[in-house]
Amino acid sequence: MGNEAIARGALEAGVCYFAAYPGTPSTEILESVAEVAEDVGVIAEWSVNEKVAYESAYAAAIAGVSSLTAMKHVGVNVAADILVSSGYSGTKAGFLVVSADDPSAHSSQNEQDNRWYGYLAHIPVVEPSSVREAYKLVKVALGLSEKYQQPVMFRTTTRVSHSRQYVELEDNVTITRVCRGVFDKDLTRWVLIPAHARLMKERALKVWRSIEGADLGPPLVEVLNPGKRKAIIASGLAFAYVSESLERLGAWSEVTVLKLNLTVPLPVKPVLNIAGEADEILVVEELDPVVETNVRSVLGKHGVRARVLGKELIPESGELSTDRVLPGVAKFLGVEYTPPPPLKVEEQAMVPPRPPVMCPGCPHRMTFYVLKIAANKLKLRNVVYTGDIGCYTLGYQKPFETQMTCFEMGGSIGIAHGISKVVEDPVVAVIGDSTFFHAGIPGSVNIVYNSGRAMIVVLDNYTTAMTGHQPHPGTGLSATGSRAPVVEIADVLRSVGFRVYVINPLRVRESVETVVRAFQDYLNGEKVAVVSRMRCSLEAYRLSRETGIRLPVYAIDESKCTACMACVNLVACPAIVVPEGAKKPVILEDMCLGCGLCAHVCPFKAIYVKRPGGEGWERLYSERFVEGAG
Amino acid sequence: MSGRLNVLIVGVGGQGVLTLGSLIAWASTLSGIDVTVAETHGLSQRGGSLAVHVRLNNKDAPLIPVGEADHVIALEALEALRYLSYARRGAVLVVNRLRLPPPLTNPPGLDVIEGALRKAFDGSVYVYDADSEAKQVAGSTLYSNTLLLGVSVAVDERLRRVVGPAMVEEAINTLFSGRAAEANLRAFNQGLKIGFSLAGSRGAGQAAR
Repeated sequence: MGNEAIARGALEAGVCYFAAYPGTPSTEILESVAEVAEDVGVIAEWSVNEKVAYESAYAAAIAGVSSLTAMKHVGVNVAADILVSSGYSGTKAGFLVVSADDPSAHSSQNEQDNRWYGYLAHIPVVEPSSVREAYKLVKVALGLSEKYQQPVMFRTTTRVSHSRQYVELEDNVTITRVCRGVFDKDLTRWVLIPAHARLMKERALKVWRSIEGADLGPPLVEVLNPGKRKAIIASGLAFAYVSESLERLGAWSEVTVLKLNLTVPLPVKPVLNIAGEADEILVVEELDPVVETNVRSVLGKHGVRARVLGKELIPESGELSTDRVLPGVAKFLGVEYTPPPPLKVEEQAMVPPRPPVMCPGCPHRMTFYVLKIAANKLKLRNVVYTGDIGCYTLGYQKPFETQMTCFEMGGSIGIAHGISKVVEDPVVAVIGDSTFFHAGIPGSVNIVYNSGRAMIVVLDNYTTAMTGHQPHPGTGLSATGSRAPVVEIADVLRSVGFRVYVINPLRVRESVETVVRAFQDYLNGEKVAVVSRMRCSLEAYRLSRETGIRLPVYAIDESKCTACMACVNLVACPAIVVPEGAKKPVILEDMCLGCGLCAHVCPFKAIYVKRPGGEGWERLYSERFVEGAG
Repeated sequence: MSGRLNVLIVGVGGQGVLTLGSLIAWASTLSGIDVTVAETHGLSQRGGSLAVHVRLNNKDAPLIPVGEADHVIALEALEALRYLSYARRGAVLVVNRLRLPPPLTNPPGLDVIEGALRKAFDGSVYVYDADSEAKQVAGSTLYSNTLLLGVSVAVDERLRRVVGPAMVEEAINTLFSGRAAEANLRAFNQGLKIGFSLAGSRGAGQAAR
């Protein structure tokens, strides 16, 4: 996998400190390092957020220890403050920030193009065009960082990070590494007071100019088939699609291709060289016209009159593919191309969309159900539920609709506060455990300080579930799997000034009663928070297999079922289906994870435990540490 | 090196779509075949629609262009229909006879889906109830993915040339251990057996199920 290739390349290159916050498609970089960290002798940390991850890794680098931080594209926004400053002060040892961008927003709230950050912060951007290349280029990028004493952004996309290829290894990973550096008290460099900042800006510009004007060759810059009247500049992964398109069109011999793996700053010499020979240049890049804009600027500055095309022919939104690149390339080359009509059958129109849903046994489903029932009991109408980033965002769907906003990490609390100031309705901020640690704490403090009127609900499922179950400060586990101190979310909220109610939504009735009390306090003007503790059902299932303690399985008694569909419509569990041609629902036993919410909901007591759970099965869902699980 | 081959694997998150991609990647790598596999993660375990692109002998472009998949493995029937336009004319489709309607929807039934697939692909569609079979031979529907891979390898000679049965077995032993490896091997071999018999009866001009 691309992310594993990046991790391996960095380990081979001697990186000693890795810090990251999980985020698709970047997560497996730190995960792969963490697996071997203790054996190899490197530091691997899940930080509380991207800003802290960046600071930690950057700090090591300014103390002379080579380091890497990894995050998804929107994570870089969280780290943007230190990112820009680090571009001023530079580094001592090699330092990479991996920005894993997500064109098409497969698992993100936007598809921002982080190469712009390179220009903003004077940080060069290296982009691989394949998994294989990612492995090699990580080392080259670290070398670049070391040589210019400047942080380097290593920008991948979903299709590099999450693709798999065979990679031939070049080096071994040295073990028994010692991550020891020296902090050199170079105050002009590290203390960015205005006077120093101005000096450091000059330093950054000098670095920038020398990289821009450098004589660069492969693998950062490569000219294929030089001397043609038409040229294509392809950046990063776009090269793979250009290459397939040219092959398909049989047009490789007609065009010069400048393959750019260093895209920011735009390498001036190779661009001027190809523009000296070509009359027309097509820039092919994913998302924004970052290279294109700068090609125009460089040619303009040097009075070169080649015609530059880019987003006129290549889509600007969504990820690229050969499908989306080939027509533009054909048009640019003046080659006839008609794509074969895709196969179509009318029944395709009947296939409903299949968005992700909450898993069977999901604790979020249970908490959402509890919140809605409690609000109904108090006849609270029009509750505004602000939402956040995590699996629970799926609660925006029917039947819950308990996520009404979702912008960024930690946003639920700040958004709830603002809404509560200008809207009369009750306001509930719903946030996950990892997200609470990430950026929820400042918002909580703000509610107390500014007399906000929002109730906070933290969904503590003992893991960062969305990204594949990474630990966080509340789990008592470190990135490498060793025990760590537990930071209690309830304690944090109490110390800030909230009255905290803790529920276990597996016990539905009891939880509803507690949340009713919480809502009552809230309506009386108290600062209230609810912490809902129940383990992610995928994790409970894993523990069940590890410990041999079986989870219960429910079934529907056909003779009692009246086909009222309450379970189908109120629970929306993927394990409850109405088979083709049938009138009554059934529970798919292989999928049921025994939460029992459907049995609670059924007005006719038609849902029963078909196979009881093993002794102490509730602990798998309820307790933070389960004995006997590895 | 034999020719290029594009294999699209589709299904519902949690069915083992990604695992199947990894298995094919390992098996082809063991045969010295160049492979690129593109996955989509994030919400992949959460019951969403999922497609993995496997490109054999095809340089670096990770995504299969529309109309260019030579072989499609569908772990769920609605997903086979959803991704139909990726398949080229004459592609081989191996489809699990399983329909998982997304919650609160009422999609077409299995017979309608199968009819539509046959209309588009004629003789090269193989529909089989892999879930029941996997449960019987390997103890769980979890192994329907490797079972279908067995069917695929058996019915499609081009696929078999790049991903041979022995290599798949080795890949299973690399990616799994203990009971999981055994169950996957049983499911795969049962799939092979079913596939060869389906292909055989197809050769005799019979309609296959």
